[in-house]
Amino acid sequence: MSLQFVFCFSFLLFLLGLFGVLYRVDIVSILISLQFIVISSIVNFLSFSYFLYQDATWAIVFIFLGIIPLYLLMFCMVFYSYSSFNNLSSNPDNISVVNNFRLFELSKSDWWGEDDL
Amino acid sequence: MIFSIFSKTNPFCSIIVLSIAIVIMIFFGISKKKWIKKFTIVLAAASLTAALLANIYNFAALGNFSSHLVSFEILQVVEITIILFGALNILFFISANNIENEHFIKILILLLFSVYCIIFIIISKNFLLIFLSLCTFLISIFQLVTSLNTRWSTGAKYISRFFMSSSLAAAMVFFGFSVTYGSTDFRNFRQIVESEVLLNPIAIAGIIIFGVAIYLYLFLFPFQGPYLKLMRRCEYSSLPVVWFLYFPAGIFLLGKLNEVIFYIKENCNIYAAAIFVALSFICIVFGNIGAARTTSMRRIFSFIFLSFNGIYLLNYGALSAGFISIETVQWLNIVNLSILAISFFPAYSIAVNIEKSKGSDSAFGIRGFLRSNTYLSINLIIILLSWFYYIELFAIYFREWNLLEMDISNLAVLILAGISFIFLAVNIFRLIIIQFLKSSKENSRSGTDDSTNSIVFPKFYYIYISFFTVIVLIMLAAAILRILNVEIFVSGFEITGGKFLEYLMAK
Repeated sequence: MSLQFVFCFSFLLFLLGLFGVLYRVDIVSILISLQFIVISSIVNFLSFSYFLYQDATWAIVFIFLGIIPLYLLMFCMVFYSYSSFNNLSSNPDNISVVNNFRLFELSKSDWWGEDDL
Repeated sequence: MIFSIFSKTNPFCSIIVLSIAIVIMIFFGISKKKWIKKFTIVLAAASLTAALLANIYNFAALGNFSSHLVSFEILQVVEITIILFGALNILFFISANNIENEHFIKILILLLFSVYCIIFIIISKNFLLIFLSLCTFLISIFQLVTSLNTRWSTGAKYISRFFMSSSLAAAMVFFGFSVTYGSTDFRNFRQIVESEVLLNPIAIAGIIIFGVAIYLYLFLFPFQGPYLKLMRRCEYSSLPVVWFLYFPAGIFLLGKLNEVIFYIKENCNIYAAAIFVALSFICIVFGNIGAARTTSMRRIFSFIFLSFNGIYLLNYGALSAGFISIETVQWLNIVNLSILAISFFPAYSIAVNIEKSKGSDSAFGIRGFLRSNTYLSINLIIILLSWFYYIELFAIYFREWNLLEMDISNLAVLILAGISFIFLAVNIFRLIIIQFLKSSKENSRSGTDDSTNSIVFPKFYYIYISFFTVIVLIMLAAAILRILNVEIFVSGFEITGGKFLEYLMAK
């Protein structure tokens, strides 16, 4: 196993995650895709540290300190989304929102917003 | 004694002041008594003011500070000052619109904690601290926005979309740092520039991913959808929170790349200039077109804010094209943010009052405003005209360059600046002309009164808006004096036309 292989693998994971975030429409898939990006970063840190810098502790510290707030942020969002969408299911705006959650769309409504609500 | 405390806590004085206020406010967190709420407003305002003064005094007394984690120089002092000034105004908006909220004191604690985190973003230098402060800032601002919107059910989906996009940006920053650190073994951008390892393509890839993450974080075109939808549906004081806490954090993160961009400019300026000019063209032109084709005041302000975010990219485009120096870019970015703060707070406070009275945020709500409330209308016109400071950018270009000697990238920057200026002018005059129009009799007959006669502004709003108008007029006078080459010196510094800041940046 070489550094080139590990880097290509982690970059592939990153692209997979990015594709998932931009393409998938349900909130769970988007969250899983975000995990791919985080995991690819961890693979990067560990591989560079192992192959080039003799297991540098700085990379390990970055991984631990980095993923804690990142996962906390994602947890906050999951908690908020599910508590809000379940409580507000009577609102037409929130019906099936969990399965219709594309982050970016190239529709007229997304590009210019809406005047009528 | 005070001096020894300052010297021991340098450069975290403002953070310590805010921490003390947060600790005191925690004891009142669950109270619903009105006098306690008023007390916490005073405490929060006092702590923000004290943090602002401590920040300036600290720098004046002790000068620059740098370690392997943080960097505290004049640029950081100015940025923290603008953020604390913005936070004071946000406190005003939150207090005016949410004092009846049962979570009011908790909201104030979250506001102070968000300011606390953004100060860390500003002073951080090390990749680890930048990332940690970004994530904790996102958590606190997410909690602040959701707490403000607990009674606004329509915004839930759009808050999730907005902050999910921010999480994507944070994850990309994490990946970018992993690639940059892995390929260079350096822990901050300054080390990377000084060692000239930017010839390494993997290091450049890491920095590009970081740049793309910031672009995504700022919701610049074509990623503006979640931002625009949230702005239309959220509670009144959430908009200033997003504009003056969330977006400045992205601008400051972009500012961390200043030296890298300057280095890239030295080596391949054509490509860097082309990318920055193209991106800023899309942001500024589409932002202004979006503002021109909508009638919603919230969306007009949101689009114009996006187009002003594009001006930061234009500044970097001008740097890459060789028009301006890195110090001038820093100065222009600070001026841009200051003008936004000075103009958006009073203009939005008028829009909020009209929206509350009419139940709609239509731009035609200000029809007849010049007749019904001449004083505030004239103030609003002066504040809107302050957006013409953009002429300053032109002045800088024309002062140093001859049109006949320009290459393609320089001409592209100039043409872009000209086109965007025209679109911005259209939006400014549109908002001014609507105030001159008479309120329609047809609407009055049909029962939907479109006039502004019935709107009563609290007396404090007159003081608040007049304060900003006076600042704009002083800046206008300084600019005119500068154009006329009249120089005013105070204690040896030339203060006309922002020269004072420019001098400090150069220093």
